[in-house]
Amino acid sequence: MKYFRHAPTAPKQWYERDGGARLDADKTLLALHYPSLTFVVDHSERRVKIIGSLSLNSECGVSNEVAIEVRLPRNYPSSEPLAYDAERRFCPAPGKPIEDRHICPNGQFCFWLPPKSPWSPDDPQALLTFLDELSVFLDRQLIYDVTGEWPGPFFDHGVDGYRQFIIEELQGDVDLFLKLQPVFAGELLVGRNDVCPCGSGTKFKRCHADTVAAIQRKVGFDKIKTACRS
Amino acid sequence: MSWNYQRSLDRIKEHLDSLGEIQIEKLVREADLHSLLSETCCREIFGAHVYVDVPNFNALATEVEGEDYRRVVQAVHLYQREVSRIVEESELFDALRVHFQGPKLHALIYRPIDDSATIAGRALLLQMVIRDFVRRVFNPEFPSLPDIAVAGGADIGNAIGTQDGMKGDRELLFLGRPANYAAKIIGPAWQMRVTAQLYDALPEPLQELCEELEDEIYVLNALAGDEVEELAAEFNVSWDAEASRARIQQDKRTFPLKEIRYSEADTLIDLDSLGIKNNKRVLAASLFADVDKFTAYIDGAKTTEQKKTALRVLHAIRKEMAAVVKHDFDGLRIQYQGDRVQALFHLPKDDGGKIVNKTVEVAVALQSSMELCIKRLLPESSPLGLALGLDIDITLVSKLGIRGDRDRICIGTAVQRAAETQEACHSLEIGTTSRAYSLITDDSAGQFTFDKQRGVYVAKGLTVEKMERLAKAAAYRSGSPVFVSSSSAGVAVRSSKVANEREVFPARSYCA
Repeated sequence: MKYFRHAPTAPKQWYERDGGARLDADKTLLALHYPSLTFVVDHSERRVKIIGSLSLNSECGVSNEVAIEVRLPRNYPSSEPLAYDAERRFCPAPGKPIEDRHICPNGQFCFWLPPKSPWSPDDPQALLTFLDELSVFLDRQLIYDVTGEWPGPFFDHGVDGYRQFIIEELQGDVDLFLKLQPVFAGELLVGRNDVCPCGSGTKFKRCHADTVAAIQRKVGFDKIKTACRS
Repeated sequence: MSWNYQRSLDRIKEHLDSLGEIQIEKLVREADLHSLLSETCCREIFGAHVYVDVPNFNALATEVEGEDYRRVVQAVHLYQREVSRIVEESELFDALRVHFQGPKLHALIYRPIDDSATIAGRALLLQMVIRDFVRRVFNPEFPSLPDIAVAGGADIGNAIGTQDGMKGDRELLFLGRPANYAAKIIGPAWQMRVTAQLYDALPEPLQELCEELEDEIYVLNALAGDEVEELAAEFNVSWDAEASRARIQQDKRTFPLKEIRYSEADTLIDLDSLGIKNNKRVLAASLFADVDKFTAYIDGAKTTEQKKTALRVLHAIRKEMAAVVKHDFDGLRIQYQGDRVQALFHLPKDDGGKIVNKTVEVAVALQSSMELCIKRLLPESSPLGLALGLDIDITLVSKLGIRGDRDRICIGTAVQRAAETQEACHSLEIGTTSRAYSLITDDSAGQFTFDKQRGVYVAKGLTVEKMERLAKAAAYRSGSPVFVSSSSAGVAVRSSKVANEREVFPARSYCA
């Protein structure tokens, strides 16, 4: 017998599934709320991005135009988009790195620590929420241009930010963090029935096992190891 | 009351569209400059600019009350009337009284046309006569008041004359080194100074009356009263102290103390209603806004086209400054003084804090119009910038002098200090005294730093947009939500909800 196999078909991209429903819905959101931005679909690269300029209007009527690019990942909407300073409008303040204004050297805007991201793939308004956050971020950038300081709360840069987050998840208990740090770093393997490293004398499963697991899930297992390695 | 970018832009465009073609020619024959000059009909005039200031009038106008205050008003009025006569009467100097800037006279001697020796001589004599008038006539006629002292400066050269305003409210403006520098060289009380240029143009007998100070300034030596009259007569100036005294005494009868009234102001002062019988004594902030480096800018304009461009820029700046003061902030534009505007704010009544903070807002708005609008529409104005100064205290506001040609005047220590503060500032700076600074609210006060060398508080580079961003920075620090609206017109992020904005809690930022 001969078996006839159909040639494998390329998996559908997110913007093709369900007849392109998600893309259409997002385009509608964009046209309604951010009409100066446009979707660009690159079928050969299987990439979708949003480009255009946002005109930020102050109350006194002065307008500042910022060219932006929002790249939607291939697994969108499971993963959130990334926004970029398309024309490198924002420069480092004298004597300070670009990261001080929460922009990566490649121009990517850093809105939040990933575990704190409010991105919700199933929310049909998720893109609008993201773009609103982008608008607020750009507004803060314009403030930074004037003050040289980031307006509002922020996490420390790099792994320090993650450590800060973990400590906050532990209710600000730095001692506890230091005791659990080898566990987070993967340098100390603790069984559920082992005594908890926090020094309580209680079994790990009844003490901090669930807390540690929750934090590891939020941050990501690889990320937390990197952040907590001494 | 607020400044708006688009409104400012539209206004400036309208000014420029309605301005018309500017003509500049050399003044070659005698003419009545009030009739000849306009915004577009300008003349390059060779002449001597003379300034005579009376510094102690400012202190008197602030410190005294009651009948003494009425005496001060009467004294200012009569002083200005008589000095105007001395300047303008044909048997005296037959010169042009440009205006009084408060107590400070600005006069122009330009006849005979291009006769530098006669013009220079008359300029020196004018200073001499006014000094003599004050010493021998004025002070003895006002024994109840402290003696006033005068100080003067004069320079000679070419300046461009133009005129602003409509019939009944016109102001002559003179632009160029002699009009500017003559005021800058004024020194201490009783010193009458002239520049080296004027000294060099003097006839030798008059040069002998001057002594050189440092940095090319000459000071006029003192002369006895009779000597002044004799010397004036030699140069065809009929100065007669006794005739002047008689006029002062007549004026005292015409304007008796009991008819001089002053009051406070609950509503915006109507400047046109003011006069010797209706004066205002108010707690007010004075603001001076000067186009920094404009004199060098216009003096550096060598061709007629360049001069026209400079004038066009000046008219646009002037009109916009006046519009910001009057239309955006309900203030009073008191006077144009060359490339400088004098403004006054006195409401809400007696609330020094609110008055000062409003004046700071106006100063920031003026900087915004200049930096964001004027420079956008007139790129040729980019070398220029505004220097501003403000202060607050009791101020006399009136319209005094000779009927039909009275000057709006503001006299008081705040006026003097605001002017001095502005003169100490450079382009993009707003200066304020310690007294006014103490009344500024925290968010604005934080933008000022004390400059020990200049003795003033200075803020640099403030615009309305920048102030908005600073206020928003405070809102972000508080952790409150913001409100986003977006449409084809753009995106607005506000600290408070106005209509249908979307609430956003700003993320706690991070960078890998």
